[in-house]
Amino acid sequence: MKKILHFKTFFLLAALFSGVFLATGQNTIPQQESEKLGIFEHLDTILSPDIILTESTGETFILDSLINKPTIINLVYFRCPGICPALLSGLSNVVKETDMVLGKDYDILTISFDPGETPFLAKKKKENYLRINKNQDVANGWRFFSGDTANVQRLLDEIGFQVKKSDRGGYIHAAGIVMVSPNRKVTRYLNGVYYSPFDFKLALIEASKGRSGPTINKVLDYCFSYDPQGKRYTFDILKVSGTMVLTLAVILLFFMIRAERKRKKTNQ
Amino acid sequence: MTDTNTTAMEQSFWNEKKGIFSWIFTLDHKRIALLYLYAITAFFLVGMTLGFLMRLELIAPGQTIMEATTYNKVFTFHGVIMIFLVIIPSIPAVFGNFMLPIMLGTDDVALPRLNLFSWWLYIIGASMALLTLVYGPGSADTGWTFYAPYSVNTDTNVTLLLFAAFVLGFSSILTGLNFIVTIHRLRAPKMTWFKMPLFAWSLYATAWIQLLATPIVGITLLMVIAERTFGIGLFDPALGGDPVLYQHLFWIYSHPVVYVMILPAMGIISEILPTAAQRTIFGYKAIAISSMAIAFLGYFVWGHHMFTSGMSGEARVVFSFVTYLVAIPTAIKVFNWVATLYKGSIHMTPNLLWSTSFIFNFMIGGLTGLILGALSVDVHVHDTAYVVAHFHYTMFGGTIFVFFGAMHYWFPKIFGRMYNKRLSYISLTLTFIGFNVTYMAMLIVGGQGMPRRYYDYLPEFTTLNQISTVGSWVLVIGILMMIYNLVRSAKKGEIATANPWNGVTLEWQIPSPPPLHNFVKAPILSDKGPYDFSILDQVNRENLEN
Repeated sequence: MKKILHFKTFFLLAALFSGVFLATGQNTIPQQESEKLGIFEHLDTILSPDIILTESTGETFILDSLINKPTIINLVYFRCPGICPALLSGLSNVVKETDMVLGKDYDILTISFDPGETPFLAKKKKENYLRINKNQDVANGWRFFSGDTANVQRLLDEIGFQVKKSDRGGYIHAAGIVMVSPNRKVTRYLNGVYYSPFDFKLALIEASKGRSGPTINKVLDYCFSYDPQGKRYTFDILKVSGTMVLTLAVILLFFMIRAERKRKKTNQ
Repeated sequence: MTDTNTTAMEQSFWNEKKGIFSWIFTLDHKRIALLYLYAITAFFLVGMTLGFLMRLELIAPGQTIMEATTYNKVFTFHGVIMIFLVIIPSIPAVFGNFMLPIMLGTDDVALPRLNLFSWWLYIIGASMALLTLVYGPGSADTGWTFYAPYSVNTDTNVTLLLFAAFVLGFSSILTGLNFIVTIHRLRAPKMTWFKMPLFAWSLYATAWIQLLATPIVGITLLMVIAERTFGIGLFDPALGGDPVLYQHLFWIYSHPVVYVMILPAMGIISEILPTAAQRTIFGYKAIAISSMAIAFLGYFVWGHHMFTSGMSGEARVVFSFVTYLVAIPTAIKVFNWVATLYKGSIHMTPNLLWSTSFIFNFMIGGLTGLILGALSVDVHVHDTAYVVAHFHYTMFGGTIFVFFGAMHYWFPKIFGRMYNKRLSYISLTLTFIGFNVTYMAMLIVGGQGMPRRYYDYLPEFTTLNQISTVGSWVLVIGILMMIYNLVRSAKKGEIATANPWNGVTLEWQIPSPPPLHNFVKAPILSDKGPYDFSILDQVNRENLEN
């Protein structure tokens, strides 16, 4: 009997382990980064100096001439109905809260990744923040740009910011800002739409030294339209398994109580 | 006296059979409990070392002893080890397994083979978790919560670690099932539900949580594995999934499970205090029912982990309110414990001091929990060291302190020997001071804005971080001293009597250490419940006769 038990245990062990190795053997389906969506960190990349962007004033610049102090690049599209306004207002808040001075200690470049957008849209956005951040030097320190397909795509690839055009119009994309050192080196990604003054200052100090740091908040916020109807099966899995677990628990309790009653009767 | 105890040792479960196979394939609940004890102690030491190294990294701003990516891996592994391998199984699997059948007056759990199987699952799960360190593309860096979509996208070895957590979950479910059946079926004749010791009540409440909540996380982790392996879009928005759904599913399990961690600890306090005060527990029924109430309410508060994850305002208010409700049964317990000590004839023992330290720590843990449960405040302290300090006050200052206290309470019963009490007082003092310095400093610096999971910080946080790090040194010295004392005493300590603390629950009515089948004759059960000290003389007389 005991031998059989040992055998059974080892058999189970072997079965479990082989299951594990099968499961881990097939790793994540290989996907090209460009086919994916989200922010893929390219820390320590030096951004190309010759990327051409058009400012809200209509003037064109090369990237090299725009970056001469720690700089925050954020990629949005101006007509975005979802997360971009939240990102910009998060940025505008942290600009107010931090003791670093916009335009003196650091600059912000807000760049549209939609090549269809014009300097006119950029100008309207800038006017917003000229009003909201009255006490900061938005006029010189926070600049808004658009660009053509080739230049924008180059910038997106170098930063590792992958977006997807949505079937319902607009884009699916993640939210985050990128810190760049005075010599255009990518030093840190801050994900999300809320930035703590702590992270912000730490990242700017790092960027000014050209020292890069890995991302702490790895949870990405996405701008996406979710279709609960089309994802019924996810909820079905949950419903079926939840019902099963609860039913089994009730059956267990029922039999336990019944057995106890029986025992009491026989004892009497 | 010595003669009877030497024979007690010879006739105990320790000497029934010899050899490694008589242990790892044993069906005896006491040996299985000890197998868990040794494994959990080993993992605790690993987890403690990782925690110690993290504190050392934070002794000064900037990089000191490890790189940021290493730090990410270290805190992930510290969390996984301490939660899944130490705290969840700690009290139920060790003291539950060892003491529950004895306290109910029976010779084993209802399903001994399933019990052994649970231990094997635990070991398999633990080995798989450790395997991720050496096998595959590097150990996970997601944090112990495995939040999607990062856990879906990261290149590190998350799949195996998730599967390990899945297997460990099953170990936990089976232990819970075993306890439910044992409590329903194997109570001694005449031991009705409300004459059960309170530890058994707390294990019963715990077991239902294990049984009902753990399958949810099991399925969730499998869903992440499916998404990683086959690219099915469940949580990753790039594939059409919903990342917030992951957080819901994860916390529907992981919040109730904090009660799996704390309820058995509360049960043990309800055992130690009556013995220390030599009087019956104050409010037996209130404590028993409050355990069930906590277990029940625990299912409806998961949303308070997600106040900043984008839930609707109404949902957040409701979750905040229900969170406050949990404080009521918890406070009932604390008041009853204090009332038990009031006007009792208190005997100073190390286990009493561990218990009162627990009450002190747990009060801080509980009250900071209320602050975090308040919606508006939580938004500010969310993801700061304040949260880290809060749950260390409940989980470490709570559960682990009680685990140590229970070790000091039942040590003579399990090993048949007594530890060095002087050394145990010193180690307790060091642990208590070290613990409070470490985490109080963390609480304050977190309130000031120091975020969690950072290997670096701004210069203004330096002093408090250094205080915390120095505290961790004292803490580690205290714990190591305690372990040294216990390990040494298990071999060389004075021989212990059957009832060294003058308790009256059933485990004190059998020899120390217990014989293989626990009871040689029928135990004495009082009609007035499990903590009726009027039977103490009779218990001690019978012990002498054995």
